[in-house]
Amino acid sequence: MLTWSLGFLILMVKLGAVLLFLLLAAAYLVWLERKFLARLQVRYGPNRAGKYGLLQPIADMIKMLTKEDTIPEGADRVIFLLAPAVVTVTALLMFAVIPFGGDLSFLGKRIPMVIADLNIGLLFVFALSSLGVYGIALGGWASNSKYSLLGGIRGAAQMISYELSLGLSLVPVVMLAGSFSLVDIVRAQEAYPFILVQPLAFVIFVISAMAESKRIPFDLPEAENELGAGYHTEYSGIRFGLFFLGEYVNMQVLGALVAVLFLGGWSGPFLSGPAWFCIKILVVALVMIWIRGTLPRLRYDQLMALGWKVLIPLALVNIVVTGAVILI
Amino acid sequence: MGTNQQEGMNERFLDSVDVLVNWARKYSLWPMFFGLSCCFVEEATALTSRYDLARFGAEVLRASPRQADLLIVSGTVFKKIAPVVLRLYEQMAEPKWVISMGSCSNCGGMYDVYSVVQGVDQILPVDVYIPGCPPRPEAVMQGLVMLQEKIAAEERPARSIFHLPGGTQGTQRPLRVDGLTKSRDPRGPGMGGIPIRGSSVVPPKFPDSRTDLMWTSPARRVELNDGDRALADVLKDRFGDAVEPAPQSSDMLTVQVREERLKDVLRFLKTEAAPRYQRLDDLTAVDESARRERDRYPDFSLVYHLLSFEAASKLRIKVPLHGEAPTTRSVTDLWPSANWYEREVFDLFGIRFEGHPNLRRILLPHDWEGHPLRKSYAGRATEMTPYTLEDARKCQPFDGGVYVKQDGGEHRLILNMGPHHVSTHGLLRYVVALEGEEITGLEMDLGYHHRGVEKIGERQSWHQFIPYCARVDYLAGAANDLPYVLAVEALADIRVPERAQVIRVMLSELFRLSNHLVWFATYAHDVGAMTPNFYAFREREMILDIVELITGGRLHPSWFRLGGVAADLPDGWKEAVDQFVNIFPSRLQEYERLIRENPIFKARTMGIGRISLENAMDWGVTGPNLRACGLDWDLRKKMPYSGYENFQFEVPIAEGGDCYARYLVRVEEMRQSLKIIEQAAANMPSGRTMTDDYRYVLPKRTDMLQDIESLIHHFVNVTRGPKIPRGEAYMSCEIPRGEQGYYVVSDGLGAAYRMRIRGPGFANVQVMPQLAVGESIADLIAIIGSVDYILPDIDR
Repeated sequence: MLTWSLGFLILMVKLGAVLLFLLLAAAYLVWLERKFLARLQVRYGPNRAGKYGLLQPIADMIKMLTKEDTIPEGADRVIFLLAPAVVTVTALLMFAVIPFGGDLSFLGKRIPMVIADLNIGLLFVFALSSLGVYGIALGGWASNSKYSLLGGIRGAAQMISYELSLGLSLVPVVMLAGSFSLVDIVRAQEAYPFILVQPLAFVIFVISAMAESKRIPFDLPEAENELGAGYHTEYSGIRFGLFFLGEYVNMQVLGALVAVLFLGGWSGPFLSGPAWFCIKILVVALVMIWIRGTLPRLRYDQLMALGWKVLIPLALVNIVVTGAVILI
Repeated sequence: MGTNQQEGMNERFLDSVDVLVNWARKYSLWPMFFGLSCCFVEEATALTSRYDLARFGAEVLRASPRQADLLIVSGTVFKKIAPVVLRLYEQMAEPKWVISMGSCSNCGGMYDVYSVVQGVDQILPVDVYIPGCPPRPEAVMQGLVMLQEKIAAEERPARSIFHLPGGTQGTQRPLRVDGLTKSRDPRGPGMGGIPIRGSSVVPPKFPDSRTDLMWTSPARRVELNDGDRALADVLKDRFGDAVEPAPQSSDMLTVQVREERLKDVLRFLKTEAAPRYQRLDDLTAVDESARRERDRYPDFSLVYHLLSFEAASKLRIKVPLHGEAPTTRSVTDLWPSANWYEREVFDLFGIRFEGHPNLRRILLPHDWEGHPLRKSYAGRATEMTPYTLEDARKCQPFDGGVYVKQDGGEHRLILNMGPHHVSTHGLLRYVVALEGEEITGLEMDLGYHHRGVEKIGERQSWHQFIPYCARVDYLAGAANDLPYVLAVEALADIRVPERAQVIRVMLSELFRLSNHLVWFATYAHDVGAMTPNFYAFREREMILDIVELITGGRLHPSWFRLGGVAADLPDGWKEAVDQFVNIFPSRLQEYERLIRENPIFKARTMGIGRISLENAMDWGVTGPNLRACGLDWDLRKKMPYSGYENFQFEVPIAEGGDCYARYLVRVEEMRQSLKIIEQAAANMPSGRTMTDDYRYVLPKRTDMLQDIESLIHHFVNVTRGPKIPRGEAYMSCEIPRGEQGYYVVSDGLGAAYRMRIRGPGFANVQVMPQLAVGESIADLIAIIGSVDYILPDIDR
């Protein structure tokens, strides 16, 4: 009985900590992006709300929470209202299987630093990321606006296409680790991180991940020069904020996945596991922001061509080669 | 606990929520990505490196009104766009705030003209007014800070948040009503107590005869060259009485043609004559009904300006028309580009063209009454009934389906891009028919930026009109003034000193650079690269610093004058220019590298938006867009003006006529402009900057203070304007976007009789369906960026 309730308590604590951390980190990722982009662009970025603009995310959040929640006439109300939640919730759920540190001992109990070590962890992640598409496609469709619709369609097509290369690029990793569990994958990298043996898979994964997270050069669903605000054109206040939040949580998830699958997860010298894990996520996020500050945007058909004609064949070749090497 | 105590606690709680929410809101004012005209350039500049509006948390430009908190109405509120502004405002979620930026938005500003609402506060409540024309970026920041202070000091949002009665948030000011709560005085504010002209105290009109009493020498007369004389003879032989070459002209061969033979003459000139006149440079009309010598003129004249690439010469054809609403034949089958020109003449003069495929209004709203460029049409907005909220609700634009016809019941998606859209680069409405993302049909609805500047030109004196020139292409600044002053100088035979000419060239080229930098920034932005923007604007600020040092202004220096420039160069100008010339090439190379060889950029632009050379010539495409089709045609070389023949520079051309070619041409033009600036600075001649013949010009101040003749000239030319001899002249210059021409007609009065502006954008944009149909939406954006047009010179 005691062990059961203690286990439950620990689980709750872990859940709370992860959730709090993710939301705060998402808010400050926005801050980081605005500051870092500003620096790339010879500017200062926000610096009036709090020292170094550190209270900027709080101000934005309070503003969005107290802003009117508009629902356009002719919108499909239920779907319109639910869509932003789908995006955020699926992004948050993915963290359930991501390990952020080695095991911890507490009162003689071994506490794994992961909320749930599923043996099909990777598949769980893919399943959720597929569900995330619904938020965008349905949100765009339910708005009853042409720009939203075009954005939603673009989003759906793009995310479905890139899911394939995303998945295929990871098959060699699974082959090397011999498991779908993310914890096992990290353990398998104790000798060397997989980026060294699987550079091609790494590149394909990062490109596909950026397409999945809809960031420049793949930000077509919300390409403001073309579609206004794309799929979230009609959203205001905190519902728009949820899309925003989902995007930045997604960025962390992808950073975490890159860290777990290719950079050895939480392992690293001197610092503790979670610290290394955060640093790795941060580096990936910074690179993504840097890319956003540098590159133009692809066109719809070019995006599709890149996914179907370049990345997927490459990923398949990589699988074959990896398989052959393992056999030999 | 007593009720009072309870209420006190509630109040204290609500007060602290007020403070917290106000704090959050004031640091999170996300402006809508919204601009109407010139002011938006300064608004956008406020976001760039030197000013960095991001510091206040206000850099999150939202393209969707739903997510924006702040509407900065930057620029002129036209009657055609006012319903759109109102709709966007109403689409914004509460709470929302409005900043009115610039004189036009505050009160109509310089544009007291039929097409402009005299202040946005007649249709929307406004929180903060920013004065200026345009206000500097610093003023935008000041306006934002004032709004922040207003939010913190005046608003009580907590009660609305908790759904309690009372409390305030967002804009609370009442609307103004023109004539009731707002002065209709066309002279602007500060004239309190002085009666408006037309009241019992002041007679309604100046008698024009004051100018009539002055003597002036006749208009300049040019000797025609052999080619022109031969052409006149050929026309006379072939068409007999139907053509009548004018005995004298101030600029080019002018032929009067009877309406019946017009098309034959034009066809002959386009296809058979030697040289062939392949381009319809401009087509416009003049309402002759208010001429001083009425019986010497018909009711209307149609004026065609043709250009020959072979002989580098121009030709004017004038067609007299009679009657209240005359009809003539369309020449759209000869030149497809005549389509919009004829629609414009129809719109503004009420002259009909038989055989025109689509003769309807082009600049004014479809439900407009009257033809504004007729002399009988009163031009001022303050003479018309006030524009109110009801008007803005009533005068809605047509549905997109009216423009793009559905054919054969086939279901297509019709998408309105604009009139207000992030990437239309101004107020232009593209109605796009889509098949998936592929564009199957494209129509444009323009006139959302029609500022009635040609009508204004008929009432401002010759000098007073100069400030309007720069606003015709608000990114090309002083380069715009040049064709206007050259045209008037050609008409009145004003000789410009050499130093003034070189200063004009230097300023024009600085503005070419500044314009191309904005183009570079927005083009990169259009294809999705956000950072080049900031680098290009950094260098543009250096240029504007030089411009400010020399002229005192930034966007609109209004610094050229008839006969010269406003003042001599100040101390320290050369160091500033030299420093810029040294720094700029490496900077350009640095950030051009971000773009030029970038595979994504190349994929987005190569082979996109192609136009063939023949098409481009037929449609009257000019400037870098024409040179990107491979034609070596630059007025600065082919028909030099203002001393361009003394400069060493090359005319960059590129092959292919696609978006990438247009990119290459413009970037190379920046390098060539820099060469011209360098030469101008190195070889700046000494001497006067204003002609010493003071009849038509504003004399130098030192002379004016010492010499009674100069003082008299100054007084007359400033007050009622110089009397420019009766006649006409057309002058076009290679401004950054292409060939901009001014056709000025004088009836020997203090203001122009007709002021026609041929904007390069009008022709360059008319060709857009040729470029974009068959491409995708994303390509359309890239094409728009590559064509580089600006709305005030399309709609004027």
